[in-house]
Amino acid sequence: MSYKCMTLLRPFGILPVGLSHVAHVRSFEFIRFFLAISIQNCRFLNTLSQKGRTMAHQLMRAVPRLVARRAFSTSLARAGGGAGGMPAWQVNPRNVYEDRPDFPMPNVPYVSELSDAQKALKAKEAGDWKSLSDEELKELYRLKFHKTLAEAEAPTGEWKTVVGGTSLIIALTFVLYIIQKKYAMPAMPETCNYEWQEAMMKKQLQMRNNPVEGLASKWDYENNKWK
Amino acid sequence: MATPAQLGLMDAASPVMEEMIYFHDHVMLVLILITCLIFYSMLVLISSKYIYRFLTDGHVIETVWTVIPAIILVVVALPSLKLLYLTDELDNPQLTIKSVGHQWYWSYEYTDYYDIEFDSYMLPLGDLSKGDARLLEVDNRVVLPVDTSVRVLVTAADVIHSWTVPSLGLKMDAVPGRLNQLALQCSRVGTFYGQCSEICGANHSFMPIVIEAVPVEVFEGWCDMMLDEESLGSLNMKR
Repeated sequence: MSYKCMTLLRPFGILPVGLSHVAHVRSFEFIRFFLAISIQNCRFLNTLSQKGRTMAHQLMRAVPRLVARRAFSTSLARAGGGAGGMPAWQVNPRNVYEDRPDFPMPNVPYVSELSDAQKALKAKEAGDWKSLSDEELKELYRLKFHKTLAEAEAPTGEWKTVVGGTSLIIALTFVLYIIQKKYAMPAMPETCNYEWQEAMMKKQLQMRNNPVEGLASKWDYENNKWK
Repeated sequence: MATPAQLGLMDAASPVMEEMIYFHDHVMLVLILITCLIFYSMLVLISSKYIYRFLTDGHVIETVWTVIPAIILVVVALPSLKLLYLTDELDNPQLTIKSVGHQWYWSYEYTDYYDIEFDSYMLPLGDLSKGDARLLEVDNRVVLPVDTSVRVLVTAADVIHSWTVPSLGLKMDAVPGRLNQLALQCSRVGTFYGQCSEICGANHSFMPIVIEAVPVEVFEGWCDMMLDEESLGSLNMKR
């Protein structure tokens, strides 16, 4: 293939390599190879023109760069936050503070816009930590995190609401059923009353109904009583 | 018939039903083992404090939990197929009867030696004697000799019905224009109940089947009674 064709394909991150070449490369190395080409192409795109400062062009340039940086390293991706004046959560939707008891390492600090006093405290934090008082340490912690791990893992008592609500609904169902049974449903047939059921069981015993492991097997026919 | 609040199968009254009960026990054991394993795994996972967020695959365990269920399925399928073919075996039947489904009753024909035909309607609530089973009793029962290989030819006159007697392990669709064959053998004397098992209209739930297995001499006496014109007239049956 001519050099011109290869140049045209560079923006798409595709090099015209043969399938046999790809098949011999392990998948991880192939992905790194592909990403390296993508990054080179992003720089290539930047050099194409100095125009294109619209949002669409900025996004087109930012996305491959960020995808490549994110694929390689989390810290690089975080450093990319706020690029072009955009807030961190717009650049990467995962840059939102979240207290997760199973993964207590949020992507961004809890307080991102610091007041003057807080900025001063942050500057003091850059120095010797022994000079920080307990209150200042706690203040710094609360700038970084919303809750302590203990507070995040603490039970909320939500189970009481769930159990209470479910029990209430079940109780209402019982009330509805009782009302239906008393006022709406027809009478049970006479075969359901006790005398009929007793007579039915006597007939079943006479018929030797289920004599192996069932009813008739529990009856002592010689002494006319249950075993 | 089943006793109130009965959960398990009824006692078998035919050899095929006995085999079905054994197969049911075998499969139930497999199911209980699998269920216990799953519940144990769930319990262990829920009570564990460790979390691995980045788990994506596990090729070895995926292979294991594909091969082992395949083996379990073979262990279940082999006796199942054996039982399936056993139910179709017919060993030189000594008697053939025909069962014809109508909306909404069954009619039976014993035409091997004599010409005996009768209809079998469910007894309504008002006609029951004390102790009779509601929705199960019929006016004319199917009387058969015990320990006799019987062929039952099942068909229907109008819509599809299904002739079922669970104690004997029998169920066969009664399809109009088709004769389906069942092999029946009662191992013990008794009365065995069943109900229509294919939706056939408004009174689908009210067309039961009752088989009365009796000693051969009693069966012969019943046949004589059925052939006797006078007694038939009193019973309001046709010959």
